[in-house]
Amino acid sequence: MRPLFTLFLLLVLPVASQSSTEGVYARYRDTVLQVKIVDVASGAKASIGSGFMVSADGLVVTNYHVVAELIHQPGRYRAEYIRGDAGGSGPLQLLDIDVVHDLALLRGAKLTGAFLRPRLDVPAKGERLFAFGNPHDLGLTIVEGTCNGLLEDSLYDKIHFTGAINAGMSGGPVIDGRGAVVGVNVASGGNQLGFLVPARHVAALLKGSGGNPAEPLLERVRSQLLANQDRYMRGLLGKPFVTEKIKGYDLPARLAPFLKCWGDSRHEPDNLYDQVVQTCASDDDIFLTRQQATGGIRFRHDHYSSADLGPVRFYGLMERQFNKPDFDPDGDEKSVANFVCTSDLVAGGGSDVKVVFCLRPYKKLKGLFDAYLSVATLAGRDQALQSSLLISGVSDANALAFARSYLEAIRWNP
Amino acid sequence: MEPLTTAPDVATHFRPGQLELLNRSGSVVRRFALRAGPLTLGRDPGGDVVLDDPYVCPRHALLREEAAGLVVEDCASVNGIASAPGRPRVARLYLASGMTVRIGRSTLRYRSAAAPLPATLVDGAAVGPLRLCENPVIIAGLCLLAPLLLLLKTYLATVTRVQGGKLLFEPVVTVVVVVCWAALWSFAGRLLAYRWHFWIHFGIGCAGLVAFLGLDVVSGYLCFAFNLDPLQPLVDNLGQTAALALLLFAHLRFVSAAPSRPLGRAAVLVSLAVLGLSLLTEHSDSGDFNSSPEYQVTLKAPPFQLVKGRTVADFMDEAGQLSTQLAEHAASKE
Repeated sequence: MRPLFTLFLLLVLPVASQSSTEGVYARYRDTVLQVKIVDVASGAKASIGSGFMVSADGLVVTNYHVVAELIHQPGRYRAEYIRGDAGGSGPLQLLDIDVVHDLALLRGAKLTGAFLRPRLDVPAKGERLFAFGNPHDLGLTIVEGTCNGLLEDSLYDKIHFTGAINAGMSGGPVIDGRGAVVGVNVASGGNQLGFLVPARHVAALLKGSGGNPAEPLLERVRSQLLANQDRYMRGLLGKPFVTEKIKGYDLPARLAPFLKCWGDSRHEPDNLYDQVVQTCASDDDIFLTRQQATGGIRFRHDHYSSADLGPVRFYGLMERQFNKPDFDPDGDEKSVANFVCTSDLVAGGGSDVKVVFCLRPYKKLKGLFDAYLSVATLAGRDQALQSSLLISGVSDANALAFARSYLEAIRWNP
Repeated sequence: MEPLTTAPDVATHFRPGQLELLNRSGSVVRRFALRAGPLTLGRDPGGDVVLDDPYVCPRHALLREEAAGLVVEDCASVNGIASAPGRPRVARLYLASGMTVRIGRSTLRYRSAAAPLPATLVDGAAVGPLRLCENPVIIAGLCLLAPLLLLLKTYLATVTRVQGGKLLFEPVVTVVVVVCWAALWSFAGRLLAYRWHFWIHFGIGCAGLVAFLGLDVVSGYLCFAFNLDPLQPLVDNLGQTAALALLLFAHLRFVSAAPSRPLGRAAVLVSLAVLGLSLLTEHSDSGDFNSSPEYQVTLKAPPFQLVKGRTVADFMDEAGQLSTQLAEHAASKE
């Protein structure tokens, strides 16, 4: 009995200590860093995130959104690391990025030692995982949680992690009990709802799939965004638009699984008109800068009807609503130019429609545009439809092709 | 002490004429007929031409007829005589018809009986179509029409169940503004033409309001009917400038006695200046960054649509030009 017990202790205890939270923390804490973005002029930190070692010679992975300012405002900021409990700090150099999956690769010249390896498969639902990071600059923290698989209906892979991820943990590793990186902390939905970038994208970044190393990083952001929008736009434009009937109109509906659609009917007692609204939007915007996310698709249909207003007042209402854009796109003066618009009366499906199409270019990322399309029908005396579309971060050709398909999909078919 | 004179006071007959005492604005406040002289000019109530001016001596000057004409001589007065305010004092001053002499702080103008009188001024704006502005029925009609149109505009823009008080608020405020506007013009008219003309100015103000409201509606419906949305700002600007010029001209005709042509020119210049200022402001604002698209499109009830829409393909082809425009704009900035 005693030898068996001894054998049991020999076999089980190391595994237990290996996967206990404190064991995991003790074993891997030195692989995790705090990444600081420092304002060069004041020498003070402007933002913080987390990162982790992926090679013995100082390669570090974090989120793109942690270090984005280094690309968009070079010279104004620099990156530094503070190494977990082991102490030590030093400068970091940005080497490569994967803007679509929100990853960045950096190198710390003086960084050596233990590192983490990516795990290419996605853990089964329920597997215990450990997230590392520096929440709210409170010091290195470990959070235990569970894997809930890949998000369904998402344009980009994300692992659903049930565990508390907070601000400052962005870029930190989430590892399994064996110390393999499963994903990188990227976003939180609150209430233990966390999202991770799967580790296979870390592996891809390490293999240099991000592009030509000699390419300037801003140019790499541009080329990655252009390639990405081409990919998902090809998928959307390669088949007829899915439509749904609302109040006699065939209207673009859930064009792809990654779009989420919601509806509502509004009838305020004081209003002399009724309004039916349907909105569809992608939840997969790509972080570009603190002021701008890109890569989103949003559209909404507003059906108005009234038995009380009469045609003159009813179309007065429509005119005011139509001249008030439904969306307020991201971006500031440094990143995008003003929209330029054209409008006309167009023979739509079943009735003439007033159409406005607007386009604005990205100032630093040539070839990328935001596009806005708004359509108002002239089908009836007491009912009309306004439909608006906003697509961001696409090429002009894709913006036009998408707007055209959208316009052609709208039909008055009572 | 007796004042000095340069010639003996021999009684002579003046050529027919008169001396006019002018006020600060140049209007005649008193006339002195010239018959026999010489005449004494001064503050002395026993003199010939009595001037109630504390800066005038009791026997300040002497007016006499000489072979060369009418002459005023200073009688060693304290403040002397001059041809006009601010001019150097002189001992003697010959007066031709229309010339003035400054005595103390009073100004006298000599007018010969042979000199022609200025042309008779036309009373107010009573010429051409502006005569209608004096018609009480038309004034009353405009005063009624303008608030009614405002009420209609507010009603058409309301899409909720509201109380009458809310509907009335904007028209009442606008009418109060028009009343103030008319009062200002009336006050100016009282100063310049000695007439109030309040109701006429109120009628003109209401006519202007009706014109501006009408222009807005007509341009909106015309641009929608013929699908001319890009032209709407131009139509609006031209219409409003013309309406403003007419409005100002009408007001000015009842404020000033000046001929129509300079008044018309002034009205047009002011309207063009307002247009220029508005375009300048618009242009300077156009450079401001706006994260949302900005556009203005007309949308009216379908029966007002008189032209057919283009095909989607045609529209998208035109939309495709936007990226070319943007590229050219970016290149020109670089």
